[in-house]
Amino acid sequence: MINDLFAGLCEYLLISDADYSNYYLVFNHLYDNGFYTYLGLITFLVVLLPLILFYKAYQNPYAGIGHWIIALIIGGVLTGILIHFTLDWAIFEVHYPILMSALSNQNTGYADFVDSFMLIQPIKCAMLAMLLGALYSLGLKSISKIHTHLPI
Amino acid sequence: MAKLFVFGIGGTGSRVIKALTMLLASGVKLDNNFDTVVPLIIDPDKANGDLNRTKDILTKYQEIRNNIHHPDDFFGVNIQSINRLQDNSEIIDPNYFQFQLNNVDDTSFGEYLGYSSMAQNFQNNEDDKRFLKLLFSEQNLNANLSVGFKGNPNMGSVVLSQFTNSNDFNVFAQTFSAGDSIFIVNSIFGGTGAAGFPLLLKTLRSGVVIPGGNLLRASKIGGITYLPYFQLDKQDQVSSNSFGDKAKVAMDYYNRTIIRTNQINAIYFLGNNNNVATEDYAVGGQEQKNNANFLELAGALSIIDFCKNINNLNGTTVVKEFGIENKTQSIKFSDLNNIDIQSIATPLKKYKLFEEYLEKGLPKALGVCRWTKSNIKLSGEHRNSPLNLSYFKGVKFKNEIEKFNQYFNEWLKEMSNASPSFQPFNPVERTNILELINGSKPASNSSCKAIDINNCKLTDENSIKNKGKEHTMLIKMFGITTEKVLSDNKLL
Repeated sequence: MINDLFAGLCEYLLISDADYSNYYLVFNHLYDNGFYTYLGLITFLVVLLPLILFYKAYQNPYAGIGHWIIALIIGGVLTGILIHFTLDWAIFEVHYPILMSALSNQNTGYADFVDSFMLIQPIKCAMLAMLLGALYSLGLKSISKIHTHLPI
Repeated sequence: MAKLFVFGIGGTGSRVIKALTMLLASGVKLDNNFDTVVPLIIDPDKANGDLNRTKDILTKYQEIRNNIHHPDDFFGVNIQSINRLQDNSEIIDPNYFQFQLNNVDDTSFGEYLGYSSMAQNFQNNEDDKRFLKLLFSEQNLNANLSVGFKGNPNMGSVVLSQFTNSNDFNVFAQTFSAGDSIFIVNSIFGGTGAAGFPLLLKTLRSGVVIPGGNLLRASKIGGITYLPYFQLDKQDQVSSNSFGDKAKVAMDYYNRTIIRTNQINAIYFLGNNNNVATEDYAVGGQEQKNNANFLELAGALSIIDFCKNINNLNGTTVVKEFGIENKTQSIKFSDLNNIDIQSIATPLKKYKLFEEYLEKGLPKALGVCRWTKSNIKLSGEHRNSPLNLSYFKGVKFKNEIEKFNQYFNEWLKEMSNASPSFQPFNPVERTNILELINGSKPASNSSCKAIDINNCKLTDENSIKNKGKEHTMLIKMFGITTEKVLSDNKLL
């Protein structure tokens, strides 16, 4: 259920139709093994960690919008790193024979696609996470006594 | 709840009332349910610098307090004028704190007595003029009363006798209730105070025929008499060389007529044997604006002591002197005795931190820290702070809080430059603001950050919200914050 939801969102928002049809083995693998759940949860939730720390634990009364942006960027970078390692693990560590053979055959283009996919996809997820983080902040700021004025 | 009427006679009286006002502003409380102090200044010298400064300070205190909802820390004790007590009006007039004396403006003492119209016929035993000259010198008779009595109590005792018949005295008597008490501050070595104290006491104890006269007669009365504690830099019409002799004569008189006859419940003697503090010479008027001295703070402590021990006072006069624990010319909190430390150290430290913060810490916080922001979106209106840029740039803050704090700072500075010097505080900057207490180091960071953090945490507190009185949040917030920060840093 969650996997379906995140797969839909991810494929709709972050993956082009051409990539999807050309390299469907990757996406089938991610879907069949429930990896979209991990990717989704990481994208949606990891950014919360630095933001909660910013609003609840970080005690700098002089913090301005710049500090909030840094917290958001930390959330984005964390998300990107985790997405990268999750994809690496999903694609290379979890055994999926058809995909493995496609990756080992240079003519299929899968190897090049996966290389760029593992670089671009984390960046896209990081950007999405930061966007989500900005939205979360509008609610999270109410838990803060010191930074309730940030971002607005 | 009871009122304490504090009569400040002459320049010293004004300065002690100023010291008391500073203590009350910092949150010092009076024991035994005294919740209102009514200062009454008796001074014919309307232009006197000390008097006008004190009246302005009292006015600022009232203005600030009127803009605080249920003040319970800083500015906790109510300071009222008799006129406001009588008619419950909201009008704040500095002149309400001063007893008005009639026929003293631009009048010579001779004119006041009607000297020119007196008889001068010694053959008919009607030579009033020469009789008067036995009592008063030519200089006395020509002296202009609008600058006071220039250290001549013999003149003061004549002129001040009028206040018992004045409207102000009647208003005072009418506002006096059962349980209220009186405290009189005077100096023994000047003119106005030395003359006014026995006269006022006699009037109160003799039960003048006015409404409330019986209550006055039976009331508890305390007083401070100042022995010489400063010198003047020039000897002329007023000479500090005569302070000692005048004091001895007056002491003898007080002893015979006041102490032995138990006219007063408690009398405090304050002075400085080795007085080396020198004040600029002035016979009166605007020029008479003596610097604050620790002895005046000690006088205010006497008032606190009087209230604390009032239930132990019976018919016999209790005589008290003031002392400090260590022989030093540079007094810190640790040189005071434990009772005095308990009374004033914490409030003064808190208020000093508040004052220093507003001057040095606020510029960094203003418009940046959450507690100074009132345009916070999507969090509910209640999370916005009224202490925003427009509040701190506003007329009320500038004219009331900032002005009062200037007076507070000036008072502490003057005491630190006087002799003996009272130096409980160090000069500080924003980055080391918590190093302000002389002889103590903060346990952690000494910057303003802790104050701003605590202010932010308090901003949502409903108990400190303005509720229609615009200084409420600032005063209550800093009352709590300064105590917490000082306590966390083991500075209390």
